[in-house]
Amino acid sequence: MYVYILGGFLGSGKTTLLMKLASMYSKRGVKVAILVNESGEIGVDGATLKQEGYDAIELPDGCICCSLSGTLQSALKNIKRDIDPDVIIIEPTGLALPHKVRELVHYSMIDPDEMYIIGIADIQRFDDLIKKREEFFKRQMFAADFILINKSDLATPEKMDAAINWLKAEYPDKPMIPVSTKTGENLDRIYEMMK
Amino acid sequence: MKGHNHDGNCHCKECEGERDSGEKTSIEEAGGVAVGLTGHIHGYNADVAARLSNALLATGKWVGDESGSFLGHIKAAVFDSDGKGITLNLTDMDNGVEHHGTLSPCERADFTFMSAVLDVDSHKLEHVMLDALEDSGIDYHLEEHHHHNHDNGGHHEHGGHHHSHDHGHEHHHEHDHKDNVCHCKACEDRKDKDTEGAGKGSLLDRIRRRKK
Repeated sequence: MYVYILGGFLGSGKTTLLMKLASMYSKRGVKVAILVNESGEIGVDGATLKQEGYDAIELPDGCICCSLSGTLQSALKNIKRDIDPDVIIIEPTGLALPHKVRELVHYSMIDPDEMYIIGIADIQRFDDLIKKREEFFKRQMFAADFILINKSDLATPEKMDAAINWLKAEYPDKPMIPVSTKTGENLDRIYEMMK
Repeated sequence: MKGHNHDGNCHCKECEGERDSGEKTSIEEAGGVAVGLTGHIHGYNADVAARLSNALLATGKWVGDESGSFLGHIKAAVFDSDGKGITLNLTDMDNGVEHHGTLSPCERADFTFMSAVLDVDSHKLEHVMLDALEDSGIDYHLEEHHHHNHDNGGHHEHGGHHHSHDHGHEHHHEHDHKDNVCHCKACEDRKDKDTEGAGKGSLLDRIRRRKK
């Protein structure tokens, strides 16, 4: 069983990527379980996924990396017992710290064969986020196995280069891929990596 | 310290582990707030979707004005008893509201409306979201558990919709839209807007002025 954790700030495109990945796996005949978490009392992402035909386990009203850590671990055990999927995709809130989620998955004893954190950065609001929450953004990205720079369709080449340079300076060893979950740019590369 | 020369900006595993031992939740650490409303809508159609979209934009605009820049997302979903329907998503004011899915006109549909953003007060945000819903002209009803405590007997009215309020926290402020005594930022902003628009405005504006 593989576990993917999608880490990125609010509005960076995690849910859209999740749907694309779920669709890709479904087409390949892979059994996928989806776990979505939202900080608000009310979850909207679960409704979004249901409308797109995906059944997701929704954990609203808190954060699975801290206040809902126990709930996450119970949910993972239930998923393993009841669904026994080939792949679990976890979408924490945009205010979560993905490395903490990875630790909790590890301690949940579901024993995944492999586990990856996919960091997602929003190129459109990259500068604003760095300006306002640089430290938090770094905390979200530092544990990522690779970083997707999303919404490439909305960025000029100069802006994309500047963001890549900034990220490369911070994380020289991490692969970085500009993508657009909207237009599908470079998603084939991601699918290939996730085979 | 840790046997290496990393400073306070270091994000290596050891330094992150030290930070994690703090008691703050990640939401607190990020300085974010999240507010969700849920209820149902009577008479759903495409016009209602457009009005709900405007409610998202109004909330997003307020967040941008209040915090300096809108960082976060504001979402809504309207769905039937099978869970099928539409979702609206606002992450950037310039891009506008993204619409996904379809929902045929129906007598009643459930809805959720949530905001997760930075650098605003959650109580004010909830007010703004409620006001945006009221101003949208949508015929909606909220579920009880989303209402908050006000000092006018635990009840107030938004555009003919009756909400009971019970937050269960010590947060106290005067709030009565009808008598115009609430002084939270959201209500003050609305008053300013109403004053600017005196003599003109929508039917709702005129009704509001008449109530005052």
